[in-house]
Amino acid sequence: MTISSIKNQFKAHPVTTALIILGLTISIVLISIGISSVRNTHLLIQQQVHYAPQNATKIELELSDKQDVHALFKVFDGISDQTGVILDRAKMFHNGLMAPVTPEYWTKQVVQRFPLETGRYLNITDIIHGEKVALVGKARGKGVRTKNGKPYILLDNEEYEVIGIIGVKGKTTKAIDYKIVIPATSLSSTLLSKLQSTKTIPFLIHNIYTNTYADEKQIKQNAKRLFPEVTCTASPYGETEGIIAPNRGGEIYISIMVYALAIINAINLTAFWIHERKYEIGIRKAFGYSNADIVSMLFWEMCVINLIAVVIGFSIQWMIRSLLSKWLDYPVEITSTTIFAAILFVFATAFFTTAIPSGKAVKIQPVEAIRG
Amino acid sequence: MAFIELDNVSKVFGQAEYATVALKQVTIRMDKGEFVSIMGPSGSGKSTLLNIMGCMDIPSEGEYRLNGTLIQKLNDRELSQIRNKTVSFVFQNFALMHNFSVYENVALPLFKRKMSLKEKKEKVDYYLHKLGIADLSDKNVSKLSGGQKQRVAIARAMTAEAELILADEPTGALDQKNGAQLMELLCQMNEEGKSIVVITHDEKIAGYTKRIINIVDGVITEDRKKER
Repeated sequence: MTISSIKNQFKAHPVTTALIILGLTISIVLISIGISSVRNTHLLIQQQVHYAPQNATKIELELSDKQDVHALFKVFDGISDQTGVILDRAKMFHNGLMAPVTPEYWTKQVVQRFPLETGRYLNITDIIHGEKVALVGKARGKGVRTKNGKPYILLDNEEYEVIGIIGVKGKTTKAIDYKIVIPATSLSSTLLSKLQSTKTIPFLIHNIYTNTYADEKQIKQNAKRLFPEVTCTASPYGETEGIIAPNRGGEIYISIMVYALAIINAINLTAFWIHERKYEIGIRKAFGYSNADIVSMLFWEMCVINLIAVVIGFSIQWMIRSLLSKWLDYPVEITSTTIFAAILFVFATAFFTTAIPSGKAVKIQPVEAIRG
Repeated sequence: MAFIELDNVSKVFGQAEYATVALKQVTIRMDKGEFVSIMGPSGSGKSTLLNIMGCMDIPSEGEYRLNGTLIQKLNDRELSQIRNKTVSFVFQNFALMHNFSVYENVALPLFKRKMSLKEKKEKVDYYLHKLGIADLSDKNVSKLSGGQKQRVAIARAMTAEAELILADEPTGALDQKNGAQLMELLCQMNEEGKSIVVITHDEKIAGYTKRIINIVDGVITEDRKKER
């Protein structure tokens, strides 16, 4: 009955019905994009936390005068075998942009922090000899060139041989897919001179197995002994520090705004729709429809209309998903969450769009409506 | 106990100085199976009286009992049940749902009935056949002639199988031939035991009925029974 009624409404009021469906379709696509955005942001944060340095401590070396950065690595002598050092906040010029780089350092053995799709991880020789080698995330494939059959990338216009590709096979892992990891002992001359001119050099020490209190103590002692003019400060490094959460607020805000506008639009159109159907509602009342029957009929009709909008919205989204994903830089997918949200959307929107105009429908007097 | 009992029923529209009195202390008794016409000039209150009888409106004063039930005491749901099961209407402008098929219009009163779709279809088909419009079943009502539309309206009223049929100027939009056919149909329904009230200002139409009530300015001026 509801389907047949909707079919008849389409015939009777094609423009109004189409406008309601159009508004709701746009809304469902944007809501779905909003949900994908939130989901991807959440996933990205989870990945960043997963690959963040564990049990980390921030070590800041405040230099009194220009200092040889390479020599500074002596402060890490004697730290635990599994404790790694990262030069924090390092950036190098790559592919026309300043790209974040992770210069890593170990004293005795390298602990692999990122999964590799191909190639090998840094080894202790690379670290000791300051080899110009790099691990690059799989999304940075465009920046990899070949010379004499060997892949390399340019960082600060210096060639670094690509020895491994970071990434999880068959999966997009945004937190690591753009990584560039080099030995901290093979910094470019540009970065070195930049660091040397900077008064404070930030390091992170981290250990996957245990805390780094003993290492922190050792570093402080070394600094005092080797570089009396250098001030060494240590502070805890929070689990979520350094996590870059993309600002999806705009997209979510737009989704909510469009949804609100679609609802207002649908309420207006439904009110107009009910006004246009005054005669029909009057007849229905004359032949036994109660006010509750009328409201229920309108609610289920709106549910069907919303369902049509959901189906069209998801179909459009499915058809242009690759375009959307490319444009928005995250996968826009139809998942159980989006389907659940869509069901919620169908009933919530049907409720909102029926609740207010229904008041009008209830007030319709069959006698007046039939007389016109 | 009469089937229809109107006791000193008045109906006032509007308030204070804008108040219009449509019915003034109308008292009518009607038994089951009667065929009554209500006559009067335009604005005399005959349609208001019909709307009250059909539970589409309630009196401002007085009491209206239908089959012993005091209508003023009923809520919207109970009133709608009476409009669905006890009373059925035939309107001058046919009051058909545009863009709906003949079948959908005729099946309208069955929406609340506890029947299977098959039973509903059988019932609708029965009345469509009875009125000679079975071939129009799937046709959109807006594509029908006036005579066909009125037959659809009658079929809808018959499908409800209500005890009381209220017809408001049922021949108003029909030519003489179709008007006469319609009145014959109503007579047939009355012979089958239905109570029928027809609003008209046409003496010829009133001639088909067994009792004529005249109303002028909301007051009953004449109530006479006659032999057909």
